[in-house]
Amino acid sequence: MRHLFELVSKPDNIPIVGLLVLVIFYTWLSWTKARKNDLAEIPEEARLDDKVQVWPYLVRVEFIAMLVVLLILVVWSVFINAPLEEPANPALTPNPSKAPWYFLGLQELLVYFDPWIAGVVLPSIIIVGLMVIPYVDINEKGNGYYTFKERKFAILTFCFGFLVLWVSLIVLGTFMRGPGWNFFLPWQDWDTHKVVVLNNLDLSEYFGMPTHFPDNSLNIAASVFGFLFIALFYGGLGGWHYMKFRNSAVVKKLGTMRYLLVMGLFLTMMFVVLKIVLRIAPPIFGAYPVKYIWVTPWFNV
Amino acid sequence: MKKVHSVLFAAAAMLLFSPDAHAGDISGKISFKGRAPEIPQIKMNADKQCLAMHPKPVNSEDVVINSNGTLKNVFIYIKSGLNKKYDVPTTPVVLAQQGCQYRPHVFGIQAGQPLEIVNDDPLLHNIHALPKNSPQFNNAQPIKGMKMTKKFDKPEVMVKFKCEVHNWMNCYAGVVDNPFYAVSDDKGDFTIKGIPNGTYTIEVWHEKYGTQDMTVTVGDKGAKADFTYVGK
Amino acid sequence: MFQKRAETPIENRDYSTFYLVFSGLLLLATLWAVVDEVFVRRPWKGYQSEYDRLSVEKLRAQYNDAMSAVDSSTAADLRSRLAEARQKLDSKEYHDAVRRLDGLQMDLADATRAWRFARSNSDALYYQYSVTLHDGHPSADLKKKLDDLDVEIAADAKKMDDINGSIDSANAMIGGFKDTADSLDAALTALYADATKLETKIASVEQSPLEIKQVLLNDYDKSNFGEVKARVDRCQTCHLGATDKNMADAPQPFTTHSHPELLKIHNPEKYGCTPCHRGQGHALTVGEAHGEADPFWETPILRGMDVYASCSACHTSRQALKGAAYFSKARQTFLESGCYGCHDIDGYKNLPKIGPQLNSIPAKLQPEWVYRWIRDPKNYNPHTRMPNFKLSEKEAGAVTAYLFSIGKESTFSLDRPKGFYAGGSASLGKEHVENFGCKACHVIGDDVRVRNARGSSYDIAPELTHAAGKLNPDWIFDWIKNPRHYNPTTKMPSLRLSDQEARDIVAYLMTMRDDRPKEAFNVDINSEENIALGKTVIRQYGCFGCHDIKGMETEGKVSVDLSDFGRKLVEQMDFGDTKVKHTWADWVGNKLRNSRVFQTDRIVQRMPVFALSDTEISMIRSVLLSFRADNPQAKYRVEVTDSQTDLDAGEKLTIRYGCINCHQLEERGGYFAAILDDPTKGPPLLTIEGGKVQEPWLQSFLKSPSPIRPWLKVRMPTFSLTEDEINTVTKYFLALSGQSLEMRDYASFTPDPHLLADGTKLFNTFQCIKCHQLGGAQIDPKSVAPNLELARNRLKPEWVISWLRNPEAIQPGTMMPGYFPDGQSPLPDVLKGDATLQMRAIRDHLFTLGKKKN
Repeated sequence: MRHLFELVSKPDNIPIVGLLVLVIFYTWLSWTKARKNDLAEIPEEARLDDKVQVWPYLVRVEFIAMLVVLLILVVWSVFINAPLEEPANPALTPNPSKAPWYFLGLQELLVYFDPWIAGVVLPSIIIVGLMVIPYVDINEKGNGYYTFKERKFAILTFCFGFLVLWVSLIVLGTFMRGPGWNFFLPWQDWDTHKVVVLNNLDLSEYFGMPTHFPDNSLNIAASVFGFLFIALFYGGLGGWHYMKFRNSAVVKKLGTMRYLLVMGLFLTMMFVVLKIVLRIAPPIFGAYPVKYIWVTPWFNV
Repeated sequence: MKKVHSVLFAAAAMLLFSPDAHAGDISGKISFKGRAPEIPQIKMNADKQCLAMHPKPVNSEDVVINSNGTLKNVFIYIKSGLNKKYDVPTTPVVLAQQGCQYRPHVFGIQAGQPLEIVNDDPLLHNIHALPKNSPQFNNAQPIKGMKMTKKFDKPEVMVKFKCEVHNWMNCYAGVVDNPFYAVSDDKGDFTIKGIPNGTYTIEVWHEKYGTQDMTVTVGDKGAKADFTYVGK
Repeated sequence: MFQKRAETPIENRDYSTFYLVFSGLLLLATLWAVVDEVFVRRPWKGYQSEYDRLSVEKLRAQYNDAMSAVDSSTAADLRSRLAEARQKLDSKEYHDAVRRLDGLQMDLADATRAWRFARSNSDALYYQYSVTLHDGHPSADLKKKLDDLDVEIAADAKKMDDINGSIDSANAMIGGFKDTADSLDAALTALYADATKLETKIASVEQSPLEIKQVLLNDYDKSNFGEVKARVDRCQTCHLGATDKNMADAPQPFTTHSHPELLKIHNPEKYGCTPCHRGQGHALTVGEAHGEADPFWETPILRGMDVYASCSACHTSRQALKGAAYFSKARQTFLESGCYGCHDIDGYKNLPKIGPQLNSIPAKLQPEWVYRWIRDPKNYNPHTRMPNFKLSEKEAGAVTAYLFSIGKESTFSLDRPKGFYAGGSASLGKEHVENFGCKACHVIGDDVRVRNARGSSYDIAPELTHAAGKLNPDWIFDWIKNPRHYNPTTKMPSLRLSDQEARDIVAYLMTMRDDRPKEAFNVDINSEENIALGKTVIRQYGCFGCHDIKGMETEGKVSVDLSDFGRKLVEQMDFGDTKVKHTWADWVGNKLRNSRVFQTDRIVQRMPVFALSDTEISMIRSVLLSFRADNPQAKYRVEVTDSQTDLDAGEKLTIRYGCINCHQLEERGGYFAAILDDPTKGPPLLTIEGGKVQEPWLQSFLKSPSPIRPWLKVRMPTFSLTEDEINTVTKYFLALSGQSLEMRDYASFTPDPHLLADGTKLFNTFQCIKCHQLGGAQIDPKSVAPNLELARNRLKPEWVISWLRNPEAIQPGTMMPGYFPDGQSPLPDVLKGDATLQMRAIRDHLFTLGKKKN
């Protein structure tokens, strides 16, 4: 438990802990407000009519907020020194070597994907996906008030993608990854010498198809199998959904291009989850974790 | 100028509170009890000139027991209780080499006081002093009547002297930082004069029998301090 | 177009309480931050005030002492006389004289001005007159005016002289009054000079501002990226009393440095503290500055004796360092423990192996003994340097088998027939062993005086207490007669024993029986399987690091390089399953105490177990701590000169051959004196040897020693050194005396014939032969000083002079007395009492001594 305290009270980690509290608080706030509004006939915000001007009424409240923040910063600076560590040494990498906290989610993906996927492809897709949101969001409701009922898909996708994937991966990377990027529970001491099993199998090998022959040449059949699996994931799930909902108003309004875009992004997000599950879950059932689904001579997925 | 004035003022103030000049003597006797040791004779065969100077055999001076059963050559000094600095006398203490022996065999001297070493023999002596707190010296005196003057920088009880030419020759000096010391005489008596009133620890030292302590309070009438060594 | 709102909405909520509370809190927090910044985070200010207080307190006590040391009667006398003299200054005559002097000064100024004006008038007139002269019409009128002016000038000059005369007499009169007072005043000031000085000091301490005291070492360090950078050292901001003698009894951080003599040569104002003590020089709070409370500071303060590990950062070349006896001993221990046998270490390369060769052991030993020895050397001899490899019975048997298998191929055979050793007397042998000096290296029986004097837990030569149970007597005879016959690289010297002496010693050693119970031995040393396994085991454990073993000549070191071990990080160390504290020092300490301590079921460790004492463990730890590749930049290091290299090589050689066991060399050695009743009857001090003896003599002496001091029973052995080694020793001795090896023709030294008569006279007057002797034939065993006839071919002529001048300065405690106290001769009538000339005369006489006979 001493270790947990040290971890949480590390000058580096204090802002993360603070942000975590804020995330939980605001999530709770929005969900309770949304629930209230969804149960009422008119949203609470619509019932307010005593609007006042920004100057001076908003500014003066903001000024108080500024005082409070400044107060916190001053007191903080008295108690906690700048977290300097040992002099940088090109001959010696710190263990564990961690990215800035806001990148730890991406760094965590390195455990499950090849660097170029985790470090280049996925971040690009995330950025592009965020940029695309205004163009694919055809739902006009939910402006200026809290609601869940009217924006179920958007809110659920956001909660899953941000809270579950992004934030929890950061928490995992910050508090539960120790030396050698090994997994430690937050109260376990970070033992440099921890040894863990690293036996993985490629997916095709579950079906008796080794990805490489003994002379290390690629098994084309296994590669094709991997490709088919991924094609099935995208095509099967996407196709099934399209067939089922192609006549719904939303799909119609989206149109083919936007539908493909949304579905592609959504399924990619789900694929990341699938890969993580395939890595973590099998040992629970006494099987080997999955290393790659699709092996090609140029990249592995 | 101002500073000097303040110094003068302070000096004048100190003058008013300077200590009373009452003083007394410590005297006593060094008795010897128990089995007297056998006193060996010195064999001077190594140097024929020395041998020739002594028609009768000479006794070793390690232990000299007087006819009245007292111990000679015991050094007595004030070990602690004095806390003033004393002027260093400029008159030298004289250590002579006579008949291939040191005269006196045990003596006291103040640190910084000159020690005059004289060779009264017509032959080579060298005097090798072995202090631990002050620098050692080892000088030859090949000619009769040669003198040299040395001093010890720091107190040390005792400093041994030896002659490398004549291996039987040695003597001891008690180097102290005050004028209050004595060596017991042919009757085993000693007197230390003019000690300011107060309480002191005095120590006696003997070459063979070691040291003893005693606490003594000196008043205007002085004080007594008798010691007894026991032979083994 | 714009529709103005009829009414601007107003929020009536009052926020003033919030404003008041939060601005108040912010103000308090800001004040707090200021207090924190100025006081709480700057504890050095408190230390500095405390130091100033302490310093003033001590100075004041000294001031009071100085005041009381002033003889009060003298002071009172001076003061009363001064007052008297001052009183006189108040008299009418004095004031009149002063007033008259003032008037005279004014008169002088007037007269001087009149004189100067007349002179310039004259110059101007003369110009006009000279113009008329050039024109050829000299003006008589001008000439007259000029002449008149000349008279005026002369009159003015006389007037000035007169006034000056009056001034002098007035001054003399005033001086008569004033000088007494002035000199009395000066005397009084001198009387209180000490006190005044202290008062000034007190004032300067009281007025000194609180400030950060920092030393900047430009271009000192190298960053991890190879850039040269400065080091900032602020230790003395709190450690203020390091060079202040008054602070000897003050508490830390004010106390005086414990080794002021080291500070004298490493001025802290120039070098700061961190080059030796480490720590975080720029930090100003205790834990951070010492680096112990900062887990990220990689060089925390060195505590205790570990501080000596810093010496080698700048003093890179030498084994022994003056003023660092502990570290010299530590390096000696490190060298003697043979760590370099298995580890590569900068500065410890190409050194001879510390163990004996093992190629001919059947001539010397029995398989039973070898097996028992390999199983646990310390069990046979607790003071051996051979560590315990913890071999299994099978492995130990296999190693024995391999060693005997190569022994069978050895060409070594005894020089003499079997049984030649017989016929010695054990009691005589015991005497020989005691007298000749065997015990300087070997412990025999209960006599552990030399071992204790060395202060090591190990011996540098085998203990012979159980020799009979180990050695073959035929072999002992062969060995002690000529050790190099059996082992050409041994460091065991020959003592030039006669056959009979050798027989006696063998007889004595054969009484040293081993009656201790032994482990059963049933190994087939001829089995091929055992021999093959033995070879593998020797390879794995690296026995060839310390022993020459046939078939292993090309093997390298079996373990890791230690050259940068001092910087190894805790993260790089494996603590196994132990609960040892995770620090560098604890890892090393535990490893040295039991090298297998971090072994686990899976991780095999082969480093053998030593049995070092706690002190030796700390010493070796200090040495390891000193192995760092991050030395300061060249300008801070001691230059590695030829003489430094010579010293280093010589120190290593003299340690290897055990020279220091008998002889003192600088601050170490001379352990043999422990078994002598009179230390002056022991082997001579060698620190001075280079300046003392002629190089050809030294070299021939080392090759084949001949007795110099026949009254000594102990023998200088013949080490059969190689030419290289003899050169190393020669250069080492010379370097110790600040000289270097050069060709010198000592034979060409001719005594000055004019000095010889006086030389002889001095020689006789000084009665040199009361102690010294002359001639080889009539050697008097009772004499206590060397044969002076050897001087001519042995001593350096210039050394004899300096020896005669002051023997005590060259060899403290020597029996040789000084004949020239303070450089003065006691004989003013010889050579006009010129001491140097007299010394030369004696020296020249000495250098004729051997010649006369030839």
